[in-house]
Amino acid sequence: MNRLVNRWVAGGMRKAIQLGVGIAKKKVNRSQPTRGAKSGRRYGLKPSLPGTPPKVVTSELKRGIKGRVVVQPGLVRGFIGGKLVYMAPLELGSKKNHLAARPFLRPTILENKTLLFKVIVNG
Amino acid sequence: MADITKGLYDRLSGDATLQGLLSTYDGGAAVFTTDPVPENAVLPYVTITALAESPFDSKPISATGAPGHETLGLDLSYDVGCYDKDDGSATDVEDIKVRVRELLHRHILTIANYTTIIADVSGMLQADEDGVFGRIVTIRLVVEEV
Repeated sequence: MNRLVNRWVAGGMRKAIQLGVGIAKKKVNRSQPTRGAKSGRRYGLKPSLPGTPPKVVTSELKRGIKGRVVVQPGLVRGFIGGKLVYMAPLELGSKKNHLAARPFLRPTILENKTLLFKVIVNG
Repeated sequence: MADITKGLYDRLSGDATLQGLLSTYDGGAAVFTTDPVPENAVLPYVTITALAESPFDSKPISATGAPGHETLGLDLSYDVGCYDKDDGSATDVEDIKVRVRELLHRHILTIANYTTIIADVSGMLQADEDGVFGRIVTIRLVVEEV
């Protein structure tokens, strides 16, 4: 019975995480004019305001948002995040570099928790 | 939103214990509602930043279904960041975080034009950097328009 419940919840969680990743990608999919430097690096000319999700420069951030579901006996956990080194400073800000936070991952969960919970429960 | 941010600011900046743990800025406790903080701000300080907002409205409840009985509200999340110099011990920043939690968790905040229904402090994100200790707690506020 427990295994059935676990499998059911895991299925719902996978759908919810997939949905959450899509919402997070949509949040950071705001365009801005960009300029290329001689080094090959691109810069955004109208960056996002502090407290708002980051805008697109190279789409690397958007592509870097991933979801993961970990299933253990009696426990199903879903994660939305990524491995890019600048994700955490964007999400939380950086006091050392005087960079304002531009959260995009936690607002995805917080603003859509009712929807995501429904998807998890309905499998 | 400005009323709610002010409610949080007043609660934190008006506490004598927290004032003793923070540096001063412009004659008051170093509590900031701007991010990034001003260049001349000195650690330790606290920041309040909005994280997420969604409606918390009720449906009309009159027997005829006529409008007029619905209530309007907001379900908000704020990050309260506590920062201090990295002097080898995180005790001071932990003390600030504990005091912030004591001040906000399950406390009916005084907010102009709103009534507090839920004030729930959760989590603790460690946001340490070179030379700076950071602890971020999230407060969920559910408020109803008066």
